[in-house]
Amino acid sequence: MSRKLSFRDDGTFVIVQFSDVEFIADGDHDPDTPDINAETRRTMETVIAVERPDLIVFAGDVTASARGNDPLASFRQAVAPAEERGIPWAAVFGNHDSEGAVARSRMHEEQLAHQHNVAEADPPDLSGAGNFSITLVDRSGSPAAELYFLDSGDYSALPSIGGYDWIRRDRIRWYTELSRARAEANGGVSLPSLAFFHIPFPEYREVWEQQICEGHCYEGVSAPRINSGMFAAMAERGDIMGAFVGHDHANDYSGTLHGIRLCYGRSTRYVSYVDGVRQDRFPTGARVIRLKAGERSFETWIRQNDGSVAELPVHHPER
Amino acid sequence: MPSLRFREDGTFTIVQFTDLHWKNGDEKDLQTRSLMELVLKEEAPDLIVFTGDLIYSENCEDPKQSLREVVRTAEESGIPWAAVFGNHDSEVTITRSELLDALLTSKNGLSGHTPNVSGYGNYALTIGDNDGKAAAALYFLDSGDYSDLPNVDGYAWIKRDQIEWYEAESQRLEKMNGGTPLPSLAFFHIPLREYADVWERKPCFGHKHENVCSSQINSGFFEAMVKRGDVVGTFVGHDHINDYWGELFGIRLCYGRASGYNTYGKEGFNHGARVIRLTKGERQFESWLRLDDGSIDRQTGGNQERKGD
Repeated sequence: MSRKLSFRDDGTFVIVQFSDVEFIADGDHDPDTPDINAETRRTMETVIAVERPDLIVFAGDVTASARGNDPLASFRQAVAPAEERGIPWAAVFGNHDSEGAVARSRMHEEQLAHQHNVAEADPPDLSGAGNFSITLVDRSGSPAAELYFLDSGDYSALPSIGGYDWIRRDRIRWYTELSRARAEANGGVSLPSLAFFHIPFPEYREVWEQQICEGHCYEGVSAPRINSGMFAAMAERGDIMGAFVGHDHANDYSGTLHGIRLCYGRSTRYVSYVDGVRQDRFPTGARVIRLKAGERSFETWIRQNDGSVAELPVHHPER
Repeated sequence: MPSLRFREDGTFTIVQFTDLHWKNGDEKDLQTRSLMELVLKEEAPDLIVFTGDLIYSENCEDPKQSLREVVRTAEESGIPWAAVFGNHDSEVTITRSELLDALLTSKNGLSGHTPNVSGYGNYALTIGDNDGKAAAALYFLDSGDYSDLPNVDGYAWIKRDQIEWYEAESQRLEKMNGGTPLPSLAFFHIPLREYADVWERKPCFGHKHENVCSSQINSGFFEAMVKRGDVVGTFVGHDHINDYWGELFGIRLCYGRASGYNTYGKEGFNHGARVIRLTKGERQFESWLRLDDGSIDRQTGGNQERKGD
């Protein structure tokens, strides 16, 4: 906690995003689980070995908590590849993380208890669990970038709406206030920033329909049915250059809408099941993000489980 | 200032004039005035609401004078009235702040303003029951004009601080009402993005002759209303040849019917006004259109024909 993460001497900072690793205890409910856990772990190890990241982000659904007897043990197992290597890491939570007996707030405490975790405790009175930010500093120790982590919740609390939950307004307010404070401390200039959360907001659908995108969209965007305005807040603040989510395993595209690049990660455990049979339409892997100190842009690519970089198709909108 | 009350029979009727686009009092403006007079005579409402684009400011010699002219029918009717601004009200020679001053000093006007909140003319009104206790609420919001973000083109949106103002106001009224949200309506000029959603996904009633010209980004006002659970209907203008309504997550999203002749329209699509009737104690409302030939359009048709799926 509150360890400084700093850009390298060459001015870069590399983040690996693991999505939906969905660990469950070996042998729980599914005889294939030990193999799938081992395979997921191997994928993470391959990506880590090739990319040597400065930070690892788990973009939610770290566990498939409903299917495990001990979600906290599953969580520890999921983050072990980062923790064992001493690589700083942080997680946001997905809808599957709080389906078992363990509350999201407890799951968040669990990550904070890890030696190499760089998340922060939740601000008091804020809804959800796992809302925090991390400041990256340059070689002189000055703030050079900000990473926002938000809880996108699990399922709608309003029965009339149904579907997935959304980033609530108090969290949006928390983000805008923090963003403003960071800019003020930085001489009035907003810090180049990224945002990580699990469930895509509805603008992910829009960007695929309206903009040139890179990557695959093999399933519908499972956004909440209502738009709480997080994207609008990001556009207004003008600091967030990219948003990173998981949730839809068969989507890994990215595209830019109103100046913000909306990115899916690459699913790290599996891509798709059809009638209970695993049918991955592309290899599992991870999204990699490279920031450069002082630049308001980033590079991103997808590293696959065989160590290769994915070649991604370009999608043009129909109209 | 007059206070609003449900009638003895428990009803309260609102006439919504929208997109009057008054210029300098030419023949078309006078047609607009005749329409207003006709509708007020036929409906005898308890409140008149102007949902923006009262004037076509870029074509007005003296926008303040045009504003005074366009609301004169309401002033002289003796009926309480309220207004919100649209994108065309403050385009060239006049600011929203100046227009607001003119609005706040007019006769029988109930328009208000909340300082330190984005926009000009965000306010709430309540409708009292026989004892004068608030039994319904009306929210008026400034949906702005054009985006001021370089990365976002097009129209403005209701800002987050306006949404927070609405939430606080809604919570305050709920508390005053013993913990039950007041049945409420919301009036603003530019349709929310959910207006396009409702046409695509739900049965809608009335016409859609043009695209929904919302802002390009969604600031979350609809979510706030759903969450508060008080607003049962929203009323906008902006798109002159759309007049439909449809219900999404418990809120009826309604266009008005364009009332102004000095702007674009569609042949055969009469000008008119939306009429809204609340009944005390009911979390719903009736609504219909009164057209310039005196007829009533109850909007029974719509997009259901193609909603076989």
